[in-house]
Amino acid sequence: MNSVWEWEPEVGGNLWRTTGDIKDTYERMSLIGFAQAGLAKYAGPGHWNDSDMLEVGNGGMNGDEYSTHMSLWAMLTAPLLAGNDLSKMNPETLAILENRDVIAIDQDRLGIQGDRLSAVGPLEIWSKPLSDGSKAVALFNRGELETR
Amino acid sequence: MTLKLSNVDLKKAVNLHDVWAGKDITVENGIYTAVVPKHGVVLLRIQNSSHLNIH
Repeated sequence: MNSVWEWEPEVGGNLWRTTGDIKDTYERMSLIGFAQAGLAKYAGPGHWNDSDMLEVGNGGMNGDEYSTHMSLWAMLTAPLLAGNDLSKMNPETLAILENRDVIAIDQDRLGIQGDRLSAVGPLEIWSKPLSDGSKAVALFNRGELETR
Repeated sequence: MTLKLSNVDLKKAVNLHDVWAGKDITVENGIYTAVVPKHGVVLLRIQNSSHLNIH
């Protein structure tokens, strides 16, 4: 019963949580987000994996980390549920949440969830096919140093 | 951090768009290299040249 994504589509479910609760820290966000690798086959139009709400703008991560958060959720074709106070957003938060190109990746009508292509140490590459024949590709650095 | 376009089945890619930077990128020899900050990401939208020929 724990792996709800394995049986929920058969009983008519449209959306189900695939993670424990998110927290406004890079450690928790990345732990649950990157753990979604391999679950793409359970998602598609009408039946979606949900990796919990967004923490963008709540103050526990820096801009690079919130961009990672938004990008990863877009690659996961996850619901983008703003979890911050919409009446008190600074320009950086607004720019992340309102980036139309990122939202377009998440909401692409093909509805295929992205997945991890490779992981070498802290560096991960994820890919997601899009309806116009293009691909979204995300280069994630989970490490503590800038890459070169 | 290096991306070989052949690894994402886009050997003939001609159009890379850096989504967060909002800029197009030219790639030579099918290899793209980016500086990615700690805990950061580079998010690309990549168009295949064969697709462009069709449309």
